Amino acid sequence: MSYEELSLIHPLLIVALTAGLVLVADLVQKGKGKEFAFIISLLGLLVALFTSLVGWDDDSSVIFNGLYTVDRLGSVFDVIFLVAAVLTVLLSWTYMKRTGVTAAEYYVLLLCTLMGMMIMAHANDLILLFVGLELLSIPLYVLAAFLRQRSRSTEAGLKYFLLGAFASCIVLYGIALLYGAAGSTQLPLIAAEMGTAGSSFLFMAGLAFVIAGLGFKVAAVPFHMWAPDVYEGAPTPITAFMATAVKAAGFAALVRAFHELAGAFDSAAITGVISAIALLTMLIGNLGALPQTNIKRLLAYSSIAHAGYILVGVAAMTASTLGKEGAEAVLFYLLAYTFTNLGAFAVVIFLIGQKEEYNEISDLAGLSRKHPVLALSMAVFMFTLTGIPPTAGFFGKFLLFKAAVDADLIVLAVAGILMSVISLYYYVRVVAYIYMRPSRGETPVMDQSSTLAIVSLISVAGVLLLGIFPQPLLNVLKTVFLA
Amino acid sequence: MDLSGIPILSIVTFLPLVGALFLSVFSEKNSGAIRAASVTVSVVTFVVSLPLFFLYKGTGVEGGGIQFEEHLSWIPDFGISYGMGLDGISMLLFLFTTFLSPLVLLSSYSHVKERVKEFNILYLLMETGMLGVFAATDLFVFYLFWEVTLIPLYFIVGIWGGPRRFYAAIKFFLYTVVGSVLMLVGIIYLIITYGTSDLFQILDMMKVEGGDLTGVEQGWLFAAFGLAFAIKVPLFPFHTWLPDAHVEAPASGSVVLAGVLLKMGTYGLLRFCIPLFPSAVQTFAPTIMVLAAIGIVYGAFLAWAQEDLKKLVAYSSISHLGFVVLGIFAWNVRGIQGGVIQMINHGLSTGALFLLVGMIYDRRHVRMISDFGGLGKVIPWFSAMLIIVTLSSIGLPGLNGFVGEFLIIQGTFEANWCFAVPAALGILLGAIYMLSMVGRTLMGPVVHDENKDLDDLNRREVWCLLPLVVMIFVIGFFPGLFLDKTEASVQKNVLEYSERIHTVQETAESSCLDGISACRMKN
Repeated sequence: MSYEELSLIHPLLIVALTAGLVLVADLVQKGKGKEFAFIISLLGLLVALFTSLVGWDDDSSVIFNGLYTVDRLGSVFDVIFLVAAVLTVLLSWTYMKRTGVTAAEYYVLLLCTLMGMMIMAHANDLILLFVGLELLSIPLYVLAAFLRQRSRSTEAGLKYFLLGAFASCIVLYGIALLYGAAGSTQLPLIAAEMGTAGSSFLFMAGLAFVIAGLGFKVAAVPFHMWAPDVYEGAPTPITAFMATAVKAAGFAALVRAFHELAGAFDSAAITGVISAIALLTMLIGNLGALPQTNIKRLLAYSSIAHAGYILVGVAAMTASTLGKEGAEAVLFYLLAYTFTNLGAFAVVIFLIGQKEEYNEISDLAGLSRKHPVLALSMAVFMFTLTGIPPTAGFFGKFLLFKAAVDADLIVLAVAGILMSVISLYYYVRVVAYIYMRPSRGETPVMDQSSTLAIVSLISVAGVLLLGIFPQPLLNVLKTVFLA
Repeated sequence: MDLSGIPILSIVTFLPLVGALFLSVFSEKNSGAIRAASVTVSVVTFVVSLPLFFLYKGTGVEGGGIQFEEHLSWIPDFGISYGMGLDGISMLLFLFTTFLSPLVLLSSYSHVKERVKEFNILYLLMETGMLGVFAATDLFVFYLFWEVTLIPLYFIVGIWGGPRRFYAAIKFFLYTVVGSVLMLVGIIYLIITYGTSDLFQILDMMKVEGGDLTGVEQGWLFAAFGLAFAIKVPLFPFHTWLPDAHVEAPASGSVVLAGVLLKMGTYGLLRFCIPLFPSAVQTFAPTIMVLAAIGIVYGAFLAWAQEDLKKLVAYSSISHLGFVVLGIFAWNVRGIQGGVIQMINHGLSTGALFLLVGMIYDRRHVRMISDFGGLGKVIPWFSAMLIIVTLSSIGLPGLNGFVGEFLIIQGTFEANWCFAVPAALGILLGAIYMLSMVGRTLMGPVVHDENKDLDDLNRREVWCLLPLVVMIFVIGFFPGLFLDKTEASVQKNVLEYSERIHTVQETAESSCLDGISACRMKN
């Protein structure tokens, strides 16, 4: 482990250092308000985000004896995770203050989860991938149950823990099978071995197990059952974080694996499996969202549906050996979705912040009269989730479905597009409540200093900028899969 | 006046958007100022756009082509550029939109009394969308503008609409989006195949030997594009959203829906379907003409059966739009010319009818024909306007409707005389239901006491209607003024590309012959 190697993973180290600082500060500042935890985390994350953006042009290299890859793919995911984390921390501040649970551990756990994600995105070795997955999952179980006086939150934590642990086992079993088939846990070595020997049943089975386990993290059907309950019960900022960053981490691992193993696996079979999962996920997610009256559950099902759309890009990626286009679409969409969903959850937190009962879509009635800016931003989020131009959601879907058409998966593209039409119904219903129904009298009062406004404004800006001027980001993504 | 170097189309298209942003700083309570400002913005937009009509060269060597072009690279990775330009066909529709918008905004004074600011902002946003649809020469840009028009109308119906507004609004939204997303798949396919989304570049590439789409590709793409446009038009049997939307929409919403938004469908068929997929059009034209003919007669019968004035006008729209589609798919200069001019005519007459229905509704808050009768004596100005507009709508010679219907029937006759029969029947039925409606509302004794002291049109209402009535006469007496602008464009931008079909057929035949000779060789 040399100094150069450490300097290459500086965003990860900064996050780790921040987590440590928060812990130490909590010891020193015993018994006082927890502003410091919030401020240290926020600053640390911003520094990490800044350095990972600045240190962008580094060449790709494999360090720590082939465990860890530093490349642009990983860096793009780092940026997505860090953006999500910054916005989540901002959301958490207001939310935790309102619920009265202020604990520095909350931020520490969040930072640990973040580290797990970053490790997953960079893992060149399946063992490290598993370590990252566990580092992501275990703090997240705790965070889901963080409001421990609320039964829904503890239920969410327990459910997530039981099913998550099960999913981790499946991944581990898959890794074992892959090791058995290829004699190595390092992705390039596996690819080389299978490329010469031809993919075996053992190898494909192992890959299927890994896909299933990661499918759990991204809430793909049929591994999605936990999502609505956990999303509803968990503290709302954590829900937002799970729906964006954790999902992105699952996709990071999938994209990394398929990118490194390209050519080693039976492309037709894997594309078939991913396509089927994508199709089911879009279908179940959208149909499940239709009858929801609770906004958190609606967004939970919607996030399942969006996992389906992103899987269309993954399917396009596995369908051809190059697969560049599908992977780029996945990255673009994940960033767009991160902005959208965190913004939408900011509005939700605003609503439920006052009383825990403000959870229903009907509680949004009359929002446009009381808080026009907030209402407008929620409308923008709903339209971008539907994929109405000129938003990032539209352009992301354009890229995904274009990749699918290019990979001769036209059926998948058409299915995805028709699902988007179904989704229009429930997203627009939210907008209808905001703009067309009269208010039911009592509505929460916005406190002006709220960090929620910042999050929703950043998100609206992100959504519109990516939607109207996508070319700069496309230029960046083009360089990701050059090697 | 030389416009080269000035992005006149972008200026006109985005003026309403700028106006909408400007309106957003107004205080909600100051509704008078908001209304005045938005009408001013739309009038300015019209005035700025007006020179386009006179500057557009419809005849001569360069006449009829795409003019006032603008190009800006936007997303070069996919060959997407911000491309704007007008030919004679789109120029007329573009100008009609800027012409109609001030009238719509002016008419909204009487029925949009709440949330005035939001209404005006939404309308101006929609105007930008509509103008962009007609001016875009890039498929992707066209699609963006197309979708942008949906959201404002959804809100306009949903917020200011009648009792069933939620249902009507979501139905409209879902129907239109189903069509348009499939069109998006088609656009993606074209972008992948040709590496660009510029319509005229694609058309040029198709003309090159071997650059054309195969018959099967054309069929599927025609279906994808055609469905979007057919729903928008709406062509029978995709029309069921229209009566709901029209009836529930506020009067101003109905006017712009009938006047401009439906024309986006027929315009799309003309601009995209026919030039891009001529072989598929040749295959499907008879089917579509049958649907159009059914729409004409069926719409007319439905309109005849209506007791509600607004529903009557809504169903008559289906019938009239059937004419336009029939003319377009007659696929000859006369038919298409008639179709184009009929788009404007329908906008004028149906727009005016919706305005008039809205005005009488503002007074009585009922719309049933049986609630009226003998209005001719009570409100003579209103009655005079209604009669003129009705006569225009049923195609009285000397008024605008006649020109369009005549050309369409002539074109249809050239193409296939069978279709001229239902078209003529449609005109006859149109005369019956429109005149009987006029008779029952305006003639006879005043049966209801409430009608005895109705106010006649006020000055604002006259200003809403007068420009429409003037245009009804202008087109009726001087159709050449408008037809000259479009004739060369119809030839150049619609029919010329369909010459591809012959080459396709020839190659198909020759390959067929090759196949036969190969078979013989084997034997």
